[in-house]
Amino acid sequence: MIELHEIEGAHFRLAEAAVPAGEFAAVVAPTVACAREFVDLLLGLAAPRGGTVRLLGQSLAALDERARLALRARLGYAAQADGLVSHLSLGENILLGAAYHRRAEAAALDARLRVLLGWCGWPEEEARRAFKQTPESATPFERAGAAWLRALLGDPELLICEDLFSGLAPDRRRRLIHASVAFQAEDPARGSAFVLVGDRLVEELQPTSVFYLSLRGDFRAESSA
Amino acid sequence: MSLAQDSARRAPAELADYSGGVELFLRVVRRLAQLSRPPVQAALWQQVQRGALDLAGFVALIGALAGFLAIATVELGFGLGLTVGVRLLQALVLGQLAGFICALLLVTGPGTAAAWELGLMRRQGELRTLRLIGIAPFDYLVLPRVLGFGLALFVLTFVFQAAAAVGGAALAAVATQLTFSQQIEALAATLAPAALAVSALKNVVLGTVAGLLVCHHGLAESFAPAETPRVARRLLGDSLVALVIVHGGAALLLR
Repeated sequence: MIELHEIEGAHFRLAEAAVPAGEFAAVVAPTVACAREFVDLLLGLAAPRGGTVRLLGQSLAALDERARLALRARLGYAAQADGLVSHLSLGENILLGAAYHRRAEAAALDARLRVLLGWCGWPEEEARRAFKQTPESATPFERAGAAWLRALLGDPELLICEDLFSGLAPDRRRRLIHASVAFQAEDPARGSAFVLVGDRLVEELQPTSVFYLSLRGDFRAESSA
Repeated sequence: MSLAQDSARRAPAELADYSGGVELFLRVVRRLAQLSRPPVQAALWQQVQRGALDLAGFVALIGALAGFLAIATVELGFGLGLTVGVRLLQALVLGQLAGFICALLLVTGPGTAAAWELGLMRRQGELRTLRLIGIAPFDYLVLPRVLGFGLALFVLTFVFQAAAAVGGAALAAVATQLTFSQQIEALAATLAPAALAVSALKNVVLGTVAGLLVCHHGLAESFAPAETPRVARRLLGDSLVALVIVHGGAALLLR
């Protein structure tokens, strides 16, 4: 699902990384800027200075912006910081991707939302109250939860989370991790990649593989599986 | 430099293709099919609501006063009679002043707010988020705003014109010896359907141009909270130029 070879960005380097279907991978970035740049390169928002990026079997360099948008529509992307549209409520944010890409009818989306809320242990009544807020007035968990729900509501082939857990209380963080595991277990053809800032949460996440981004000029640890 | 600032700094390069009025307009036309997407429709409706419905009451009040002043000044001030008063109302208030005042209100209020909102979204990295979830920022942010401003100005001007005709006549009936029905009949006799259609078209065009300017200032110009007054001034200045060009162009075409 993800194949990266000799990637060189402005902030980091990565020798090799592959996330096949069924994999629950973590990518450890040394800084927030590295994590952000990694996601930009992985999803084709920027081109790497060197190396190749293949996503869902396609080389991003060969695609135009429309084709890249269509490819990204098959993915689920969640980030806590800057991951939501500020003038929409959390509920509108959650539905935005699915409604834009016309994933399913409203009733089907609502049913799926209930399943996802159950996975992350978020009581429906409490969640629906939170959905009326804007991102600015929401708690970190509510923002992270909304971003996670939006990413998964469209049943993506690949889930990519960018620094989703920062600032979350341990129990809330565990709920989102367990929910992500449940999502992965539902269909073995799916893949997940969690981009973490620092390796503090690697043990808690228990990924099937871990890749380390190294700061440019510091090539001590390229990657390990 | 924070990530947000970095994002705001880099945005103009990413959005370089949004600049250039004609190109931007052609792109809006090419992307019209995207209006079938529910979130784009919701954004369009929200823009019409913010631009027109929220201002409708205020505009109706100004329209009624403008209509009253036109008729009353001619009748009481100059004693030139109903026919001249109605002609003045039609040519000056309904034909020119309505579009002019509504466009200025639209640009200074909802226009500045929309430019600010777009600039803030860019600064907070929300355009990046949209692209990462497979949504083209142009389709979701620019298309509904440009069309929304066009529709909003059409609606606002219609409200102004209706209020100027009906409210102005009602107020003039109280302050002068003219009756309400006299004034309405005189107005109906002189109002040509073609003039109404041209006025409507002119306002849709002008509103669309205002929408293009708002999106350009929000997305392609540099943005920082401290620069808001400068952005507002430039938006207003550009809109005034557009106003003069569109009104002048319409007057030349209809000679």
